[in-house]
Amino acid sequence: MPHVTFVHGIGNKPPRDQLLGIWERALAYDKGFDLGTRGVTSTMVYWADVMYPEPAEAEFEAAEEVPLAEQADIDLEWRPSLEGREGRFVEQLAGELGIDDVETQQPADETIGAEFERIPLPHWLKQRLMASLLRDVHHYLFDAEHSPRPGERYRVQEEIRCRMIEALESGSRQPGPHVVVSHSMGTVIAYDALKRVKDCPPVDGLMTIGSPLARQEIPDEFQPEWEPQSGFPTERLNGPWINVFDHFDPVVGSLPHVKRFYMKGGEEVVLDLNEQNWGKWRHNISKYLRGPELRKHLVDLLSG
Amino acid sequence: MDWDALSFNRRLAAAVDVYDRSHAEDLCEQLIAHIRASDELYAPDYARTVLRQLRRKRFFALMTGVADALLQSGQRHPIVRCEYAQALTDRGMPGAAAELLAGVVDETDDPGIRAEALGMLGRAYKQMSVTLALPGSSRQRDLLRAAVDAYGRTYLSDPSRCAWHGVNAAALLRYAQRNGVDVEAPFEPAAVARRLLQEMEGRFFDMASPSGPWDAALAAEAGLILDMPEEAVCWIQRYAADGRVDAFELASTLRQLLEVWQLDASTEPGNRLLPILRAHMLTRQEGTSLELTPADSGSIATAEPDSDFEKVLGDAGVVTHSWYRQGLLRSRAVALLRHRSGRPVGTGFLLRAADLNERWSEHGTVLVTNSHVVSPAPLAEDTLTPEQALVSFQAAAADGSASGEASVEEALWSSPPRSLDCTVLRVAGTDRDIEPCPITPFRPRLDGKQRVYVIGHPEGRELSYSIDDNLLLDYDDSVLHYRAPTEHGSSGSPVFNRDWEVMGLHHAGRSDMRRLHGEDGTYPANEGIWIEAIRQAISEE
Repeated sequence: MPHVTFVHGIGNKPPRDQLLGIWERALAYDKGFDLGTRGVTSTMVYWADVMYPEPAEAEFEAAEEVPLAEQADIDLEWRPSLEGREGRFVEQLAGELGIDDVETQQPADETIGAEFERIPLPHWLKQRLMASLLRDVHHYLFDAEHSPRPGERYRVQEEIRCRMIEALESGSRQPGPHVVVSHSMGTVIAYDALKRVKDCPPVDGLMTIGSPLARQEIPDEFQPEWEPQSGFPTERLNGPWINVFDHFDPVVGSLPHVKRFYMKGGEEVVLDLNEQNWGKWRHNISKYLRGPELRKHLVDLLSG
Repeated sequence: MDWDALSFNRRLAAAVDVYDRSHAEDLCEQLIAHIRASDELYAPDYARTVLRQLRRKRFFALMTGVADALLQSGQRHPIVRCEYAQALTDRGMPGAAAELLAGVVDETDDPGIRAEALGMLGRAYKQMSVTLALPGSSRQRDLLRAAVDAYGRTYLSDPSRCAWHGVNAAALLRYAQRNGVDVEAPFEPAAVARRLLQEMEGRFFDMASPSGPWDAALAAEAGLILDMPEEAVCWIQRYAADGRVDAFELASTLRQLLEVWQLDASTEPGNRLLPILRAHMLTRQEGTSLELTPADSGSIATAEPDSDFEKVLGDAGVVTHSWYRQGLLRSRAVALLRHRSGRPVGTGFLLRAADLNERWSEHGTVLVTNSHVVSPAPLAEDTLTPEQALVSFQAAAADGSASGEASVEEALWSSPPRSLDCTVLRVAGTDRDIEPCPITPFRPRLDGKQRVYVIGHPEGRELSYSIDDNLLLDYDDSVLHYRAPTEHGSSGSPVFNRDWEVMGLHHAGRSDMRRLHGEDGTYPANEGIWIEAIRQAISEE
């Protein structure tokens, strides 16, 4: 029986089982790919509780726009105390993400290229979402200490890596192909495990969705295990890597193709797929999971 | 041991929530035993909670048992009698219900209870009148008058609080008009409908005073009273999409549209209203079996929804409707099997012959049923031989794309009832007209959440979708077990997965089905034969 290990992305989330249900229903929506009917088992690597005090309400299943839980104002007070490489990383990524930009008045009818539709996501909201990405990426890559609730402290990378490896071990015990499907910050977690954790079990396919892995600052932090010519996690990825993006997803950046950073023996082998979403918030996983190309490639991955 | 009514209600609610009928039965038995062994009357509030929990998922037989035990114990509170009457009406016993309710109306001084009892009394009379086999008779006229009187009196006593009584009276007046029955109107139906629609428009979007789950259904009926079908469609969609509306509510509204409004799925506005309700009934995780007339399934399945319909349904609604239509299309390949004398025996369904056996490709499509329904070597008296069997595809016949009845040309393969209980038949003239059902190569996940859908002709009746408690319980290499209490005559029905692909051939149901994998004990379950097991057995011969 094939198995999918899902890894969620930035922002607060509903409890694990609800979140898994939301992802599965989005994938099955409108004659899509119904994992339960096809006998595919699944687990969710849930880490929102490492960053947030309590789970969010399950609201974004039908929401076309940014879920309220993901609009939360993120505390960035930890930023000024950072020094050296860590400080430079955060400042560069914050600059890339436009977190410190003062809002400039944009013409109401601004368009981005004739063939693209306008993105009306308000500036303040985009800043909040990018702040969430900045915090999660930093805390993970630099294994920061974080206390989501009184009396609980985590080393963020240590805790999430541990959960990721546990889920992958459980998935690898299933007889069929084992595929990792990750979204947003979850793609950083998945890549880190497959590339840098020696005890990580191998998988048969990797799908990264709405990933920030093509933002230069991030792969730099995977060194020394990473370099562009051999960035593909060959040791623990026995199958293809499919990277799905939407050009207007603010998390992926202006150059969303990951193949140039994660080559196998100097060859570009990752398949970068442009899946066109809709509406203001193109990073929404429910939208991505309805994409026909994504579904087609996931079926192929699970068919071995 | 002390009885903890609160804890009992919690446990019952949990069982009802997941539609665990057998657990709910156990709990009701415990409650009845407690009521019989106790000197004290059971508190009416707790009793009401129990009865309403059972009503929510249409456990009317259990409701009747509990309510009767309460009455026997001396607990004659009007609430108990009203709920008892509700269960009786829903079980097709409106006469007994009317007697109980008339007593409540006479005795009670509480205006709220009186209004509720009068509404239920109106419903009991309505049920008796619309199901009467003597349309236009003086008996029907008297029953309709009694129903309009019960509803109308209550409405006039407090039009704001008793809007549903007013709408029901107005709907019955329209019914009487349509059927030429002379019933005096206590008020102008259109005025009631206009007033209700005005109130609903305001209340539906008012967060401070939200509307109840029934309100949108009433507004839909108001649209019908005013002959404004667009209004009715808009409100019925809001109603069906409301998470608070459960199987009980959807089934009641569907019955009202069919029986009182006499809508059918082949003409306006039934062709837009009925599919919305039926589609949502199928997507509720539990509920009731859904019976369709051949015209319903034939016409809806073939008609493409128009763009206005899509606007009304919204994105998710269109998907639900499209999934529902797919199920209806499958029902075109489902047939009733009868003896040449007319006696219904079971169900069968079409598959591509090559899907069962590559060597059979020249046969086109074949009909699959149980060998205890049709067999070249019958072991039981009521099993048909191929020569005795008549096959009718009612849904396909209704839209004119297939002929009414066909005979069996030959039995290609059969496995006895104690083995795979399957016969594969070649049927005259089925190749051209009807798309056969696809077979799934997959086995679903056993996570306690997967559902199956059985389409058949229970007791030889109209096509029925079994969605009642249709949870997949377990499977092994030969059979699958599911918790759907299909009736006799569903033998030979296809068992579908959520993608409307055939997983199995339904063949048996027992309250004490032996568990699989050598596990001890039994459970109530239905059993189907894996279609893959049948395919393998055929290819090995």
